[in-house]
Amino acid sequence: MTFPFCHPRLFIFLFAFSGSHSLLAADIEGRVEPGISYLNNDAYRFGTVAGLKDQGLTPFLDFSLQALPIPASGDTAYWQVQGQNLGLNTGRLSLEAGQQGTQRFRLNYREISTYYANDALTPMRGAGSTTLSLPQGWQVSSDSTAGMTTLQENLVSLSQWKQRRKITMDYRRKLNPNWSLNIDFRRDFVAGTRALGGSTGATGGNVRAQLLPAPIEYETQIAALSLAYVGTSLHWNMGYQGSFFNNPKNSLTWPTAFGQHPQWSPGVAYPNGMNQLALEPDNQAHLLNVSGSMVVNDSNRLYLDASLGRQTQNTEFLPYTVNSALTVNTPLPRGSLDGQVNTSRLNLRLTSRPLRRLNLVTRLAYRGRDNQSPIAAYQRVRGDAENQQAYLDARLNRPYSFDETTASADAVYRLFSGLRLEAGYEYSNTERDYSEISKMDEQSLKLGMRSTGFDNLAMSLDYRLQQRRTDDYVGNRSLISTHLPGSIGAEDYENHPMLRKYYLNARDREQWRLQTDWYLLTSLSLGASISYSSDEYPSGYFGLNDSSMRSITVDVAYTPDDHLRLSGFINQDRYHNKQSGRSFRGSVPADADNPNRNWLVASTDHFDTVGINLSREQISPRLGDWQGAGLLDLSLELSHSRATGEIDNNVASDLLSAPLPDLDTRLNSATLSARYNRSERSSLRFAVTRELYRSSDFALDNIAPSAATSVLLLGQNSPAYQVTWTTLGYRYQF
Amino acid sequence: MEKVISQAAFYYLQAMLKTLTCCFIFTWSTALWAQTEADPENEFVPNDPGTCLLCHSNASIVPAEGIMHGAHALVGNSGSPFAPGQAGCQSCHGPSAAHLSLTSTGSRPLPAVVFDQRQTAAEQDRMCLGCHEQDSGHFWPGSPHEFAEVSCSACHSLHNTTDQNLSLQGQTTQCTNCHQRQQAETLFASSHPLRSGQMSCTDCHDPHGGPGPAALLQPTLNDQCFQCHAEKRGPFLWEHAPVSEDCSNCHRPHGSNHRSLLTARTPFLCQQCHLAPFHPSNAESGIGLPPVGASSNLLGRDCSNCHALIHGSNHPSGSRLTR
Repeated sequence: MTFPFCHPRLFIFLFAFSGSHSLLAADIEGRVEPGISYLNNDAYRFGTVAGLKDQGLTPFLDFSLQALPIPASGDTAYWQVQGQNLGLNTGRLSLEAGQQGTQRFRLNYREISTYYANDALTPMRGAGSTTLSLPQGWQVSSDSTAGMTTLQENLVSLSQWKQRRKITMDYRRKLNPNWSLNIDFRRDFVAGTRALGGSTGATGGNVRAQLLPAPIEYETQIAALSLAYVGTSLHWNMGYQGSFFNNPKNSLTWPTAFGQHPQWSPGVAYPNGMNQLALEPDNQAHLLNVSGSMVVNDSNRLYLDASLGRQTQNTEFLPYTVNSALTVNTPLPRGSLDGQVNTSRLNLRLTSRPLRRLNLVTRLAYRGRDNQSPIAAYQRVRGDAENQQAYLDARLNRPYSFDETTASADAVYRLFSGLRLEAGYEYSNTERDYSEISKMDEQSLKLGMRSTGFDNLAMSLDYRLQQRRTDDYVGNRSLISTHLPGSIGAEDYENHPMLRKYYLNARDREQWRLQTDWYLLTSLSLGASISYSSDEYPSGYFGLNDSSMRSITVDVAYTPDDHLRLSGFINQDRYHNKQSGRSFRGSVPADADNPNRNWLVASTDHFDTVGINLSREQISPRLGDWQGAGLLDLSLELSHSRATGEIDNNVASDLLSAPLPDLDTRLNSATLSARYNRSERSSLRFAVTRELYRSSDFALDNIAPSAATSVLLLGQNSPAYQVTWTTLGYRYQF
Repeated sequence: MEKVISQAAFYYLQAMLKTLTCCFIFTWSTALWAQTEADPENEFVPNDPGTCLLCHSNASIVPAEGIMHGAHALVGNSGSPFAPGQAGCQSCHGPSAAHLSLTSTGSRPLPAVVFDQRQTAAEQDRMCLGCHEQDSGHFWPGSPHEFAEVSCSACHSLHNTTDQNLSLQGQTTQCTNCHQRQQAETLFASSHPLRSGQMSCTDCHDPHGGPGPAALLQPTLNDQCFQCHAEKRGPFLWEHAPVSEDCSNCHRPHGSNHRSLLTARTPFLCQQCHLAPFHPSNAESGIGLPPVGASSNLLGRDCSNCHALIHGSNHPSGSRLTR
């Protein structure tokens, strides 16, 4: 890792910032802990967890240095510097300086690394760049992967990874007893390589695709400034936040790896065919926000929270095609989208206490997204594989907008000491454009009870009932809105007319949750939580028909003294979806009305998770006659997680079906760590982690790159590893 | 002109409110002072904190000495409970002279304010918010934790020298003590990097309440996601409607068994909204897997083998999100 702020001037700045002559007189204390860790196997995915993925020894450093004022001295200036996991890909560095109660400056740097897979294979060269190529000697004999006669000898390995480096700075200053100023700045830089599908061809059976190594090189800078006032009866805060996203690699160009397909135009296939897709464009977002609260009277307080935002994007368009063999007669209607989305939000909240035992919270909220991006007709070159479309086949972009208004009230009534009743009601209304529905209403009723009246038992029960209703669902509205008038019939459709998209459909939702905490002893507590949620959609339609979630958690905490702690939990979650559809072919109109082509999929994800932590501190170690002079701290962490995804298919008589294998994930992890405190100033730490991870995925496992006729895959398997990670460190405190 | 009038009205209203509040506080303070005079239970312990620490040293059953080495003890900060003119321990615990005495049963009366279940969360929090309203209080009233009566002291330990909530890892540990389902989700195959300590709950949530749902730091869920995933913000030429509206239409933020935190396995997730002729409406099953078959709708990245720009495309030929 790199340390962009390790500069002598920074430390000079810290001293200058915090002030102070008196600070130098204060005690400077700290600790430094160099260490070394050893990983016994290469384990690519484990790098996401531990910051190291390659077998071998890796040195690292933890440290902290701080100067804190002596409390009774009258000084308030302080500074501190901390580093953690320096040397690993999970390194972190933080600096803080300030004067307690007056001002504070913080600077943080951290790395977040994600390692997806390193066993992928691709014939593409130039991974990480925006222009890929095929190797010399690439040969094709047909329009399928089977026709890639030199594929095997040209495959090279590909690692898929992402590393985020994040720097944050914030400064806060209390200008006077009422006013304060906050300045925040953040910069994220993300680099890596990901697998991205790239297709050639447009329709029917002529699409051929390749999974490509696409570059990631994002930079986001966020700056925020806010001014706050806190008075006796009035508080307010006004701020601005600007977010600027920059992607210097906003396109990806690649050659077609397939041979000529009869439906493609000449020059689309290898060796001359080229393709291009647009990676994420630069964009900006600006947000002005104001929030405040006002004491209305003894029992009422009013809160306001509002914001106005604007998101813009004006990256120059790529051409309709990069394939020079294709004919493009009509230029782009615009050079860029000149996209603009205006957002607005208003929240009003009144907290009241009309009776001594009654608390009320009432809310009014509005949220709007107004997409002002201009609409134009785009005469596409579909999949870089055919000449430009005629004007009537052009597509119109759809700038989606919506408005959501919500009103709610929640009440708490203390029936008597230790028992309180809760009730709430919420109504929301959403209006959309270019959507299958234009209006949606949702009502929600909440009831709850909390009891703390017993000495050693606390219990809560919550129930929520939601009902969502919409106006008429017009399934082809979004299709028609993207076509030029006259180019499509009023009854034409793309999605089956009986489909209802789940997020736009009427829905009945029921949720409840029961939680108990039982304090058996002062040192022992048991907890249990059960929650259930069920969504039901109107019957007789395709799409998501119903879904449910059930979660059960049991936990225990045992702390017999200050030096021994045992805690653990067992969690079982189950998510269930049932969806249906009808397989139909555009070339066989009768299919759309044929119930013998219906299918039903019931999928269930089961999760079982166990976590146990045991720590024992200040043990006097003894081995036979030997008695250690220092004290030993021990801890043990055990984690087990098992997930199984079941997918059951049922089809009607005209279709064929076979079971799909389960999707399994297993994680077992155990960490034993010991710190031997030789003296007040020095200690030794030893930790060993044993972790096993394996997963199975039918989309990946034992699937060769050429397994599918029309898609060149990556041949990677689902991740699995088994590692032992040993760490040894020495800490010195001063 | 209209703006000037509205500003004037605002200042007038503010002044009126301040005046009313001052009158109220004066009246209340006077009444309290009078009551204090008459009520020995409202007397303060002299020589605070010296007297208090005689019994509450680190070696005691109820240690409190740690606070004297932490931020609250910096007497140079006029807001500190131990600054000149403040009441020391009793700045938070209230006038507690009675605590020095013994009752007829031999027990010791409690200080005026104790931070446990013997007093309501609101009564406890009032003491903290008296100084920390600017830090934490703005979205606190009506927030999920306030509504559930989770008091400040349920998470913060003032009597320790340092607060574990000030470190990223410490914050996550604090949150998952209660939110164990979310802790379990960090162990799922697809999750944000909380387990490695590279993210913490407070990267997205403010436990003191925030402008967004579920105490998010940003006004909406999408705004929160765009803080780190600004590449998905657009606006794009070709938008994917559910993306523009709500990321949670397809993603489960705390953990999933499916890649990219998806709520369900693709292609079935996609087929919940896309049922067009030919491949989008296919009945995908085991016959699409080797050795029986090799469906491009099931293998590799299934739908996104071709529809790769699923969050939106800015390519003029990319209306199908393939460019």
